[in-house]
Amino acid sequence: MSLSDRFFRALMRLLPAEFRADYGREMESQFRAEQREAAGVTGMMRLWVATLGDVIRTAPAEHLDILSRDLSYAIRMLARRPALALATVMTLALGIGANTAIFSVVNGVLLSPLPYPDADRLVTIQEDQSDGEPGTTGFFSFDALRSQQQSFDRLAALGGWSAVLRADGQDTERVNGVRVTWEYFRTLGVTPALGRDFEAGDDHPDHRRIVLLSDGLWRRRFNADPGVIGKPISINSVTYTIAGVMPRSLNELVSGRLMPGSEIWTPLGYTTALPPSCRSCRHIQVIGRLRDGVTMEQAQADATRVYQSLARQFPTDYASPAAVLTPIRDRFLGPARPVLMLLWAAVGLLLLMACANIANLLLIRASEREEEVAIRRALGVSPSRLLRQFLTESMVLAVIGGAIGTVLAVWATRVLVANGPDEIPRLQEVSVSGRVLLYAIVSSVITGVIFGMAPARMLLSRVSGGEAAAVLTHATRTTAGPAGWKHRAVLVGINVALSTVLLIGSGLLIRSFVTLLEVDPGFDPHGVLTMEVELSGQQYAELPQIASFYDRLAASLASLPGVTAVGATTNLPLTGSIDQWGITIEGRPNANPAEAPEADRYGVEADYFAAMQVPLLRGRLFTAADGPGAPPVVVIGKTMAERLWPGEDPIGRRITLAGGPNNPPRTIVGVVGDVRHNGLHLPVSYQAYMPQSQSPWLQSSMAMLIRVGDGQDPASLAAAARERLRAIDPQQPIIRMRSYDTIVSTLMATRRFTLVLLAAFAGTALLLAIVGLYGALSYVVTQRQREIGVRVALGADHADIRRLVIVQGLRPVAIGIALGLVIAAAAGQLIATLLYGVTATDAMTYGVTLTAVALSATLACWLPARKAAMMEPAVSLRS
Amino acid sequence: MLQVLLALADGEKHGYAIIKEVARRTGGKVVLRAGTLYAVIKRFVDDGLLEESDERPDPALDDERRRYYRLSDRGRKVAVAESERLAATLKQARVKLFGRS
Repeated sequence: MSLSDRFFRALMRLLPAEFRADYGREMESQFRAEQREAAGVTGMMRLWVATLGDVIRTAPAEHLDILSRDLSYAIRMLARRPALALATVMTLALGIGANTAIFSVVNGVLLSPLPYPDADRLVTIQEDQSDGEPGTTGFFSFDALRSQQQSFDRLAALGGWSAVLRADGQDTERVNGVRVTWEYFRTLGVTPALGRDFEAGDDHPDHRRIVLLSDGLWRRRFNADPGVIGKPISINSVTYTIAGVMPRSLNELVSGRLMPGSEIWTPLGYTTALPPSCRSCRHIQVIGRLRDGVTMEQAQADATRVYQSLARQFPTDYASPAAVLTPIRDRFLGPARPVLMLLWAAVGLLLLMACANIANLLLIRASEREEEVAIRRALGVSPSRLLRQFLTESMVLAVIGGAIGTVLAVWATRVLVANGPDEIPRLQEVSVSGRVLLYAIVSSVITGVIFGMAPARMLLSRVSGGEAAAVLTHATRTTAGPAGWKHRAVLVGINVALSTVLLIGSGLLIRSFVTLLEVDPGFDPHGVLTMEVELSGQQYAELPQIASFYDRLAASLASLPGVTAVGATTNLPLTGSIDQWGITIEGRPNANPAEAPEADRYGVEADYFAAMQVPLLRGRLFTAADGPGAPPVVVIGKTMAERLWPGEDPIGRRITLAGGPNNPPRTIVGVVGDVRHNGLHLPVSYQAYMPQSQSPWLQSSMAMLIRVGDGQDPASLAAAARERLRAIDPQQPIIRMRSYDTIVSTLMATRRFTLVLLAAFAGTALLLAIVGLYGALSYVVTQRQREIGVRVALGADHADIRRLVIVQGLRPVAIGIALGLVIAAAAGQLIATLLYGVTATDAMTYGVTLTAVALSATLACWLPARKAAMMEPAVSLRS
Repeated sequence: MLQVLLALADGEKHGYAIIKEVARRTGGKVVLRAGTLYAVIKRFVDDGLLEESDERPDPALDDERRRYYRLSDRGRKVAVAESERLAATLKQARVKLFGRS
């Protein structure tokens, strides 16, 4: 064969196989004849150009022609069994819909690019004081890092800021703000949409009164007026100038995650001479942009070197510090990853199960079509042509299912976004984007191939070769025999295995959730309304004025009907607030103050312990006598008492909370029960309470705690409480008002979200598995009717027949359960970080799941088995 | 398309002969290529305009890879109808464009 002939044969592969089979040989022989007639090189060239054009024109038309015939055939076949088509399409729509919805969240939260250029070079830098918990750092350390590092293009620091905006004719509004060093937005690589960025000169204690607004705040508060640039604005009773507005597209992840809800930025304005810049004060966060070519490890070593040189210079202020660098993507999106990946894996399994179920339905359908296939094979239709036909049918189902699924996904995505926990970042940006649609299309197509392939292959292998004739002559439904059942049993086994995996996963989450609910927070959150207030203005510049305000407010709230106790605190447990200080015990100096044990500090007023119902264990609580002039006192938590004074009575001992000249030693007067401050799942920390009126620090914000009597809804007091505050000072805004139950429930939001979704997926999975098993077994019983009739005629009783059917059904179930347990144990790591109080291989969860699956499967087998046993042998034999 | 039917009007032919006949009849203006030809043949066979002939010429003259096609009765009717339609169109064109019938 000449080279030219070979090329021609290769070119013909563009045509459909069917067409080649019909006309290929003729076309080749014709091409050879044309070659003989073509004169010389020019003739050959002309022939080839014409031939190429011809095949390229013809091939797509021929493929389309086959497709349109297959499509109309497929639609006719499906219309003949509408119930089957509907069941398939709906199963698929659910599978693809759930998948696409979860993927849209995964895409929006984890996969979408961050709103910063070269975001992979951005890192957060935390200080690790060798206690295993990297945290905030101080301005002094930041200043040293900034001047001594060699690995970053820029570094910036940020700290929280609460801004109460006032303008003539407008309501007072409190917004969350961020104080940043002037390089902050330059480090992130974003510039204001309007006005100017901060300059080095703005970042000074004396001229730092300028702000940048978020696009949202600018639209809400200033009606998107471009003229606001350069205008004054009163914040916390001080006049600031608006320097610029940040772009709308900037959904600022760093500020937003470190200081939730932040909408306004102002320069930090620190110098190392200021008191908050003390070496041991650690309350700012640091971000940096890595210099090109510098690796994370190099930069981390560089920053650690700076910290260690500080530790050598100031050994009493640093223990053995190290820098911990984390890419911002990992730091801010990382925590959401396990939850989303778990859910994604779960819906993936669900879709796989939907495929297996549909394949099972189609297998039953296929066995009814053996005759049709045999006839078409006998007429010379090639197996590949038939395979193509069957795949077209499953594609039609997949495409319709995918289309409905996408509509479901758009709806489900909205529900997920509206109900998702705040802990998942960027949830509000989630939408059904082009990439999500592509995902839906690709998953529909893959699904169609997966579930269409199995029945088609089985059919073709059944009627291949000599068997075709057998099928035609006897028209037997041979798939009910061992081979047909084998295919279905495999699918049943897969379904059972996958649903076992999902059930174990949701079972573990349920156990964790219940365990967490049972954790005693150390106080009683039921029946408590919290009202967070922040005072601003010159009239609250001194501690006595602030204390007097809160005393009056507490007394006024306590007189509301139904209120049993009112307290106030600077630090609310379980809200994520952190106010930890080093403790020095009198007579036990710390070798290095930086290594002193730390305690959560609460400045409390009024009946705090009664309002929270934190029990007194020893000594006494605070009284009205523990005022500003009285000897300083402190009440400590049980764990702190036991660990720091093991076997001793701490009452009467004296401790100092943090250093400082105005911070005298305090006498321990009482021991109270521990409170879970940082989270129900975290260990108890040390706790120290002091009367806020004796506090050495000025703090203008406090949370009021209003406890109501049994059976009363604390939220019902909200309006009245607001009125009482207005009556005392109408200028002061309430930052937030919510019941303590809401706080606890928000804390559990991510767990609840994951749990509800996973449990729903697992329930659906079990249902799919059971329906699949029932369907397959029912079909087998119908097909074995004759055999069962013979057995009954030969003396088998009802119990024998039932056993026969149940054993057949339960065999793949047993294998499926075993497989599921193994997969679940192997995949345990995926879920381990979400568990509390149970291990990923919790025996009880495994046991309950195994029993539940086995029982449901037995029920699914029982119904067809009973039907088989009830058959009249005479009728069975005649069938 | 009609050219293929016309090429077969005077008897059965194999594919290559059809191409030759069409080229000859049109003075080389219409040269069918294999892909186009067999796509047309396939459609005409499916639609019942052409039939594959079982009769083969003298084996000495025949290449056994070749398949012969002939017009079916239906194909002949279609060819006639299409020719008449074209003739009528031509007649109208003559009247409209050249002012004669």
